[in-house]
Amino acid sequence: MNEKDLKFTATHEWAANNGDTETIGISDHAQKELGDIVFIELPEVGKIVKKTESFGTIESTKAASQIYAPLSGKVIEVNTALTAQPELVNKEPYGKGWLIKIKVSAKDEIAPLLDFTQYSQSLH
Amino acid sequence: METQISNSSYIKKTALYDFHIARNAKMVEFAGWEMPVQYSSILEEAKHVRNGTGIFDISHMGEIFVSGRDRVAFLEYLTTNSIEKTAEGQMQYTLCCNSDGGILDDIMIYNLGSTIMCITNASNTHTIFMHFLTHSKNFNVTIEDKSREMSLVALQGIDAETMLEKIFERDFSHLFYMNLERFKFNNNEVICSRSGYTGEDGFEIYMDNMAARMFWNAAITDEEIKIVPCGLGSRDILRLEMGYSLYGVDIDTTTNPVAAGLTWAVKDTRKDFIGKEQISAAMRNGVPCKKIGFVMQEKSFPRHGYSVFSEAGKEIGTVRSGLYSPNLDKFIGTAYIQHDLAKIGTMIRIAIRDKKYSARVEKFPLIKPKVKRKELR
Repeated sequence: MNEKDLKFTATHEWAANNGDTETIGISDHAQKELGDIVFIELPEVGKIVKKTESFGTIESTKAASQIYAPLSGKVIEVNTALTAQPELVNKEPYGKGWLIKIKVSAKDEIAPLLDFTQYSQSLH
Repeated sequence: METQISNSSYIKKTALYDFHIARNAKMVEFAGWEMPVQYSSILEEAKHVRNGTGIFDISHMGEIFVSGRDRVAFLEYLTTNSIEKTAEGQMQYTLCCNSDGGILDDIMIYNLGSTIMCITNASNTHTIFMHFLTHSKNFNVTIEDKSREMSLVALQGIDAETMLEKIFERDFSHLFYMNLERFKFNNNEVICSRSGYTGEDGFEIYMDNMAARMFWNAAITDEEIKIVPCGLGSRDILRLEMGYSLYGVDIDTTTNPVAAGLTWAVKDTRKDFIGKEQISAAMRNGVPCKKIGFVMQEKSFPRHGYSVFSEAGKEIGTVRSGLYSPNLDKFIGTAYIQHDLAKIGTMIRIAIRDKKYSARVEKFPLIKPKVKRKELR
């Protein structure tokens, strides 16, 4: 995925729209800050996540960090490849390192998210 | 995501700071020093030291010199181990304790003949220096802190000896584990010991700041032998795989050496020393909690401060060190737990967020040390 097509949160998550579903991950900046990621705790399929609420934990050599949902919805898919290869989030934060896919319940939550330029500026 | 970055304007830099910046190292504040925590990847660096050779800037460690007629008697009184049998050219691991038997620092002592060099943890250098001064009144000794004028570099891994011989143009094949040599390098005094904090064969080299820059540059630019700069992050992994204690995490001023499993560094029958009463009592009577090493049985990250439970569900202690070992592909850690559950093989549970995960008490080191020891005849 091209980072320019993604929407971001100030807490460093991203969301990629595809019809009714959104793919969610963490930003390249976030993975660099975290360092080597060694374990990721994600919700089960069917779980309801709420915008700005924690839906999982990323454990890196440096810290245990909460991941906050950029949007509300129901989890329809979880990236199971991360169980064996959590480092995919380091290597491809916008690709194979995605975390979950959700079916969005409130589409009006999408517009207020940051675009790539706004997000990049927020890092300075 | 939530990330925290701390900033402080009163941070010391080592003589090798520019090399770290040039390599894009991630710098962190550690005990008042700005130190490289990683260059590329903590995990890759930790793997490299077990399979190749790494170089570490550990100049933040303190060097306190004790000289004068009573230097041996002085250190016999201030440390738990006995240095009387540590001859010139040898080194020893020892503990400096308070009168309650709590560990002020774990230090490495180098017998340099007319003087004794004590290597302190960066966070304790000032405490130990003041502690030495306070107790020096009845002894004929001079105490000097040379930490700022000396650099310390650790070269660890399979090619450490070859690299060292190449740079210094000297033979180190007869320098064995826990022994040291002193020599000149470009007119600079060098103290070099076969030792380290990783369990791999390797050396710790004390030089003045200028010589350290020359040494570092020669090592990392060598075209035949690949020497990888490694940060404090990988050093922490390597030391925990070996079960070595980290001051401030595994041991502190409230820790009795007996609880920490460091009784081997106490010689209480041979001499009198500060803290002896409490330490001897613990040796006789046992301790309520003991340090153990554990390996997680399922994937989950044990971190400092997490609670430890027995299989029966009783809270029995607290995690001290915890991390992911890339060399074992396992999460490992240390904890202080109720002594009767501290036996090797005991199953325990670590509370991580809202769940409890299974772990097993294991015998450390988890990796066989590869240091070159003198063969006993």
